[in-house]
Formats: sequence, structure tokens, C-alpha cells
Amino acid sequence: MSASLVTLHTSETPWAYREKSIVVGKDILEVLSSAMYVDPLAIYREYIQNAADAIDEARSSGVLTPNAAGTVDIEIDLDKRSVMIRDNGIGVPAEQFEARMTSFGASAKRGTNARGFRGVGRLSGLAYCQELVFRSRSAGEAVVSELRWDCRKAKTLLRSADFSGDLAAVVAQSVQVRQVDGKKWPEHFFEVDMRGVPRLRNDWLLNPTVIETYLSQVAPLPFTPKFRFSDDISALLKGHLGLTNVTLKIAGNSDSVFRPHRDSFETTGGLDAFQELQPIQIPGYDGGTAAVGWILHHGYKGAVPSSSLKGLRLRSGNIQVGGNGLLEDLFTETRFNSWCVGEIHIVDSRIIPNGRRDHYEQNVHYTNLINQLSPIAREISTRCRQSSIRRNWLRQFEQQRDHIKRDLAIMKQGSLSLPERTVFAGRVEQTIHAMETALTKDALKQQASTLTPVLAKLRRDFGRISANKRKAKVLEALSPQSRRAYEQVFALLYECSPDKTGTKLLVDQMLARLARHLKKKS
Amino acid sequence: MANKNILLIEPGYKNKYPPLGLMKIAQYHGPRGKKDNVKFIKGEDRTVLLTAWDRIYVTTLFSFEFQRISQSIDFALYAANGHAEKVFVGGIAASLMHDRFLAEPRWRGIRFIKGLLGQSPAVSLQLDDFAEELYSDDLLGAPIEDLIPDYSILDQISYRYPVNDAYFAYASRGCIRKCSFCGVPKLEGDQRDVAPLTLIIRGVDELYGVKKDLTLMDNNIVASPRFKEIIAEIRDLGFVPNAKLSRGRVPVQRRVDFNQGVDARILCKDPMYLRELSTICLKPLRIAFDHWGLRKPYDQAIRYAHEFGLHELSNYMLYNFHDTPSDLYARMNLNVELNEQLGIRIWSFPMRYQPTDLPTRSHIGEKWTRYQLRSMQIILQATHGVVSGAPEFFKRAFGADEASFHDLLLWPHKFIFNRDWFDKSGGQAEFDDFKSKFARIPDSERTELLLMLSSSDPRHFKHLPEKTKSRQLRELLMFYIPLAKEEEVEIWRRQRSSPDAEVPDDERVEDAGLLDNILEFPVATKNTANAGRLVQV
Repeated sequence: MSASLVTLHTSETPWAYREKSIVVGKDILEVLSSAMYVDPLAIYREYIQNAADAIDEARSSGVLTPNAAGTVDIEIDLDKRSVMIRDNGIGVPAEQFEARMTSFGASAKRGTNARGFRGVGRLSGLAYCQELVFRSRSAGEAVVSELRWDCRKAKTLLRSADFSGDLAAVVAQSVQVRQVDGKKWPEHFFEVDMRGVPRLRNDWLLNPTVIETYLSQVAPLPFTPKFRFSDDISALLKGHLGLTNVTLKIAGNSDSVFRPHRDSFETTGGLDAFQELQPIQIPGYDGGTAAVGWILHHGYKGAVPSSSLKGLRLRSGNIQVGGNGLLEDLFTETRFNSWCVGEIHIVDSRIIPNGRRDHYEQNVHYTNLINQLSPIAREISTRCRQSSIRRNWLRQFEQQRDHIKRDLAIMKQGSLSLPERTVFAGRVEQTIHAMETALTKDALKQQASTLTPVLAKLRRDFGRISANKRKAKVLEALSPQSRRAYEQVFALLYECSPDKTGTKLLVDQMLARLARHLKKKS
Repeated sequence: MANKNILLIEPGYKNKYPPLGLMKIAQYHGPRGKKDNVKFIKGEDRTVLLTAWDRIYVTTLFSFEFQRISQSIDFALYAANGHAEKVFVGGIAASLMHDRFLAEPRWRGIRFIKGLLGQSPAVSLQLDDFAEELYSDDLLGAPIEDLIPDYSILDQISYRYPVNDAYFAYASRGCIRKCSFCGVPKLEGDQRDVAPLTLIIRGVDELYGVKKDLTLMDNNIVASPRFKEIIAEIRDLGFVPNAKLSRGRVPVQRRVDFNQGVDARILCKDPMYLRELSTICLKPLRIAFDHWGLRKPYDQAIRYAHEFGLHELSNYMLYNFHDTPSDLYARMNLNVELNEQLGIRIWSFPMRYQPTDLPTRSHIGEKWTRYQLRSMQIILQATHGVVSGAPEFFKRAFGADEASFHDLLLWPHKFIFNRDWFDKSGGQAEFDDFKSKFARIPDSERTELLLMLSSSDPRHFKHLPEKTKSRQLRELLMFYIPLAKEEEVEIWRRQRSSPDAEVPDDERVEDAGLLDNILEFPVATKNTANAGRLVQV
């Protein structure tokens, strides 16, 4: 070994692993609760996610039979300002209850099929009530275990400058446990009981409509059987998503909540309906499937104003991640995201929602997903734009049809001299030709079958009317001199009037009046 | 991993040779490599936006095509949905103007590769294995630089490269010289040997079929210590004088082209070099004649060439560098004289110097002016970039002597461009009038005229007469007002098209830029700054 190499090695001080224990301060609790869930409604997503995992586990362990529904009930008591979220899942056995309810970021679910795995979602309610109770029973147990957070106390401790205890000290002073007799309680369940819920906005947390609108988008719920594409979508996802839906009921309503999709819906361009289901399968970064999903194509008459429907969305474990605008950057114009209705379900377990579930961890697998989705988004943008072009064409088509009908009626009236008639005929010929050309355009391809006969009839009418050069009877009766005078006046009227339809009525009346005069005279 | 979507982009400029770098990258990703789906486009083909690309490579060529290159990079970034980490830009401009590319904020994250992909793919492409980038584990694979170029991608585009039925290869890389006008020292560094030609050629034969020609892009082949071995290898490959290739019904003549030219300073030292070169089917021989100072070695080299029967030469002539118009004329004229003396055919290809890091073609050499460069451009447009070696053609195009060349460079461009019309047809009277007035102006006003013309865009020449106090100059300036479009069209219509020396496309100078709208305003250079001041006085 050369001397210079030796010096090089000794010139750098070596690193050492440290041995002292670390401090986990009280503020970490705030970071894990209020700081994580900025949107208060997200606490419903967190608790339903835990409920859905518990229901899946109950099913796989046989506690819940295949035919039994996995249910989640949300009960609201406005007087007590409380809300309770209960599922009929596997429950937490009494001997594990306290340890599991007081652990932080130590979920046993990591590495399993479960939706949650960080072990912090349970704390989401802490910031939004005065008292938070977890209550559970697992099948076959006589007792119900309860754990209560005194959120007021916890908050005071967190804010106090005098209290210098760590996380464990805060828990010790604000969390209590007990076991109660299970007689009045269901066989197996888990329940979150929030009391003293504050009024936020229009009482979002205790407002059944708001909660339903939110959960209908986010939660793992079935489509309504009345929805045309319900079965197709379920069939599409079946092979890829092992996780089941839950039956959600809110505030004692006997009807369970469904996904928000219906056959027809409002757009900014009027009522529209879903026409075509486009299945989507995204290949994984290194083989396999990264995601599956669907897009529902409609008439693209305009943007979908309903925030429950619009947007290309991402779901993990059949729970929505982020909002309806998560993927809008993929569109050539971000506004086209709100013209789109579609959902992508992540299949690859390496595409991981972040802790807040408002986005994904950035890694090659997620980047690959986004990359694969972009041509799809571009295609939707194209559909939106083409539809807008098509609507313009159709509007013009209708306008031109009306003009032709009007001009043909004027020609048929027989009030014009031959040269004037020829001018009208020339204009009609031109317009029909323009419409025929327009019909060959790509944008009108779909409409061609209905529009072609309309146009053909106009052509026939035009042929018939322009062949018949007969004058109005009353004009025939006049001397050539005064006939020319009248014809000139009529031509002037048509030329000068901005409203040719009105003018035609006027000329009709004049001709009728003239006929009466002539009759009287004779 | 296979089946990844790989997009290769060459910007939409016109160029002579296929993008060798991209062809090698195509080999790396293609059916014999990573088995990915490789798509090659030239310019911005929007149909590729309907595919999700896993990686996009953009090649770059001339630095003065910066505009087109930028367009392609922006397009690549768009096709990658702004994921700059998927975009790789390499090639000559990316190497020569590396810092300029890196400095562009909207291109942050794109990897601009300087020089060759001479190490393992993961190292050359700077792939990051922590970010799990595609093929970032390919630390032991053969360098992409050494792969056989994939000719099959050329069928994916409609553009046809003037030279395509050829093996493109290097027998050596780098150069012993460090000429300040040249990009090679920055791109390739010192002269060195590379893998044997035979390997590449046999590889191409096997995969893509036999090619007619051998295009060797060596910068200075005669400086290679292996020169004789290389020539022997070329002979062994069958490229001997009059070699023919029978592929179809009619056998075709094969040829070898050292397309970067050979070094007169070495050729003149020993007749061995040209004797050796005469043993292969070299056509044309290209000897660089960069300035008048090289006259002696150049002259000697041509005589050796003649001695060994190499009679067809196409020689590069740098101008707009440190040279003067007189220097250029003398060099072109020497070729004419040599043609007459030796009975050979030398074509001169003047190449206008551009600094290798200038993003436009706007450079004006210290001893040239904008107007003269435009004149030169217009003359060359008429001759398709070639200076004929035939005395009568040459004298007509460039003047009978140095003084008339200077006059010619100062003529109104309409006279140069529509030469026949003004020389011996409808425009004769006007032309004669001009010539007599032009002959009478004193030297001082001649200089003023040149500066005025160089300081203004031709569209504004009509305002120049107002800017001088000299009556003579005012009258003369009237001739410089460009013809109206219709007038010019009418002249073209009446003019018979003059037959030019037929030069095959593959012999032309690649970057002559004859069709470019060159030397546009405003460009700040020393000359124009002075000229501007003069005009304002």
C-alpha cells in the first residue's frame, strides 16, 4: 500500500453511532393530530378507513360471514354535540386494547393488505372534540374496552409553558381506560365516540349532508344499483381489488350511502349523460399492473360543476387519496380535469399514499403512474376540445338551415323579379354547399347520419322551388309596368330590412291587401 | 425491465448525416439491447404525445441552431409532462455550449451530456440508483458509444439524409491540433485510437445489410500513428480503387470519404500519405485550406495528390475568421491555377466561421463586414455553395482579380443575384450606369459606403441616401434599394436558368447555411458599432 493512501485514510475523523436515548416531546402529539388533518372532514376518512380494515379482517377470519354486510354507522347527536362512528369489524381484543390505543406510529398493519399502516389516523379526532372515546369488543369477549382522551386537558398541557413533560407524560395525564359489561353492546365492534364537537363552517362535522357528500366520494362504498355502469365497473375492478365495500348509514337514515355517480348529470352546457365506459389498466414500472380504473365518457357539453363527480381521481384501497384536482396538471388545460369523470385504483403496493393521504410518496412507481396517465388525460382534453368545435358547427348548421328555409319561403312567395330571385337562389345554393362541406368534417362525423337527410330535404325543396318561377297571382294580374314597380319595392324592402322573416310577413299582407283592392275594383 | 417506451428526437433542422449518437442509443434500448420500444422522430411530431415515455433523448448538432434545439428540448419536456429527469440531451451543441443549456431555468433537471457516452451506460448517463432510475444498475454494460448504430430507426421518419447508404465510423478520435476555430478539442480531446473499423462494419453488415460507402468522420486521420494500418484495413474491407458493390441489378461504385478533411501540414511532409490514400477508393479528397499561410504545405499536398492520381478534390476554406477577403480570394484563385496547371478538378467549399458557442450565425470576423458576408452568401447561393475550379466560371462569379472581387462584394445584391439579367439582358443599362458611377467614387467614400450598407438591414436601404452629405454617394445608394418582389419575380421569369456545376449532395458542405436568413439585425459587433456611429454623424 502506498504511503499517500494511508494518510488519506487517517486524515478524516471517523463517524460513530450514538448510544444515548432520545426525547420524544409533547409537541409531537400536535404534529400527529391537528397538523396532519387540515380538512376536518378527513377524520371521517381516517375512521372509515380503520373500520373498513377491521371489516376485511373480520371477514377473512370468519367473524363476519361472506353474506353478512360490513356496516359503518354514523350517529349524530346535536344536543350533546357528539358523533359516533361504529363498525361491525373484528374489534380489538381486551388484552391488546390499551397498548394498541396508546401507541404512536407503530401500526401492526404495515406489510399487510390493510389500507392504513402508519398507526396515527386514530389520533385525527383529537383536534376536533373535547372528549374522544374509543370503544371495542372482539367476538366472544364478555367485556367492552374503553379508552378516553380528555382532549381539553391534552390541549392545555400542550399549550402550557410550565408543563415540560414528554409525550408519555401528556398521555399519562389525559388518557383513561376502563372495561364495562358487554351486555348492551354488539358482539364485535369498534366505535369512535367524539363529544363536544366544535361548530366549524356550517357545522361540517355534525352535518349529515356534508358528511354524506364527502364520504360518498371518498369511502369504499358501492355504486347505486340504478347506475347504468355499476356492474361493469365492479366487474372491471373485481380481479384487482380484494377489498370489500362497506354499508354506510348516516344519522339514522335507513338508506345506505352510495357513490355519487348517476346516469345523467348537470354540466355547464346542460344536462348530459354517461355514454361509454373506458377501462384503464396501467402497467407497473417493472412489469405487473400498477393501477386499474375507468373513465366515463359523456357528451363533453361542458364542465361538470358537481365537486362530487368531477375530476380524474386516485384511490388506494378503494379510498380516495387527495381531492378532485390531484391530477389536473396532467391535462393540457387544467380546466379540462373538471370535464372528466374517472377513477384510478392503485394496485401496486409500492405506490404509497403519504401520511396525510392527500398525495402520494414520490418514487419511480408513482412517477410511472403519472407518466402513463398523461396520454389518457391528453386524449380527454382532445375530446373536450372536439366537442366544443362540434357544438359550434351544430349551432351554425341550425342557423344556416333556418336562413335557407326563410329564403326559400320568400322565393316561393313569388313577389320578386327574376334577377332578384336569382340572387336569393345563389345565396341558398352557396349556403347549402357550405353545409354539405361542413358535414364531411371529422367533428360532425357522429351527427352525419341525422343531419344528412335534413340537408337532402333542403336540397330537394330548393330544387323544386327554384324550378317553379311562377309569380304571385295578384302580381300576374297587374300591368307589366306596375308589376315591375311593386317588385322593385318588395326587393328594396328585403334589401333594407334587418329582419327578413318579418319583412316576408309584411309582403304577404301587402299582397293580400292588393288582391282585395283588385277584387273590389273589378 | 424491457418494454419501456423510449423516444429519440432530432431537432427539425436540415442536416446531412443521420444522428449517429441516437442510432447507438437505439441499439442500446432496442431489440438486441434492453428490448424496449424505441421511437425516433425528427422535429416535433405531436402524435408522440399520445404515448407515455419512460425516457426521452434529444440530440443536438450545430450550436447556431440553438433556436430549433430549444424548441425540441421544450417539446421533449412537454412529452415528458415536465418530468425533466426523463429527458437527456447530448450531442455537439450540448457539449460545446454546455453551460448555456445548464443555465436555462426551465430546463433544470434535464441531463445535458458533455462529450461521448464512453463509459458504462449508467455512468455515462449519470443515472441515479437511489432514485431507482431506469437501468441505473447498468454499471458494467458496454459503453453506448461502442455499439453498432441502429440504422432501422431511420425508416421511422420521412426525412431523408443526403448521406445514408454508408457506414459511419471513426478510425481515430480527437485531434493533435488545437485550432481556435474548431470544436473538436472541446468535444473529443486528444488524438487517440479506437476499436477496429472492421468490427463496426461487419456488425452493420450483419444487422442492417451492406452499405455502399464508408464515411469516416476522423478529425485528423493522417496524424494517427496507425495511419498505414488503418488504410490497410480499409483496403482489406474491399474499399480499393474502382471497387463496386453488387446489391441490385447494377453494381454501384463504392467510395471512402474522410468527411472532415485531411491535414495538409502532414500530407506535405511525406509522399507516403497520399500514396497510401490513393490505394483506397477515396472520393473526394478533402484537404483543408484554412488560411493563406498554409499555401506551401497545401500546394505541396495537392501536387502529391496529383502525382498519385487523386484528381478530384473538394477542399474546405474557412473564412470570416482571422482572414481577409483578399486572403480568401487568393486561396480560391490558387485552386483555379492548380486546376489549370495540373489538369485536375478542385472544388472549393468556403465555410463561414462561427464561434462554436454562438447560438446564431451572426458572427462577423474582424476583417469582414456584414455587407461583404451577405454578398459572399449570395454568390455562393448562386453556385450552390461550390466554387468551381473552371477559370471562366470562377472569374465571372468572384471577379478576375482581387480588386474586382472587392468590387463584387460591394455591389448591390440585386446585381449579384440576378446577374444574367443585369449583365446581358433587360437590366444592362442600369448596371452600366451603376458601374460607371461606382468606378468614380474615391476610396474614402467607398469605405463609407461599405460601413453604411453594413449598418442597416436591406429593408431600410431606402433611407440611406438621406444619411450622407455626398452627392455621389447619394446617387450610388439609390442602386442598393432592393427590388420589389414583383420585379424580381418578373426577372426570374424572363431569365433562363443557368446550368451550374452539378455537385452531388453528399459532397456539399453540411453547414453552409445557404438558405438561412443570415446576419439579421440587431447584432452587436465591433464593426457595426462603429458603422452605426458613422451613419448618425
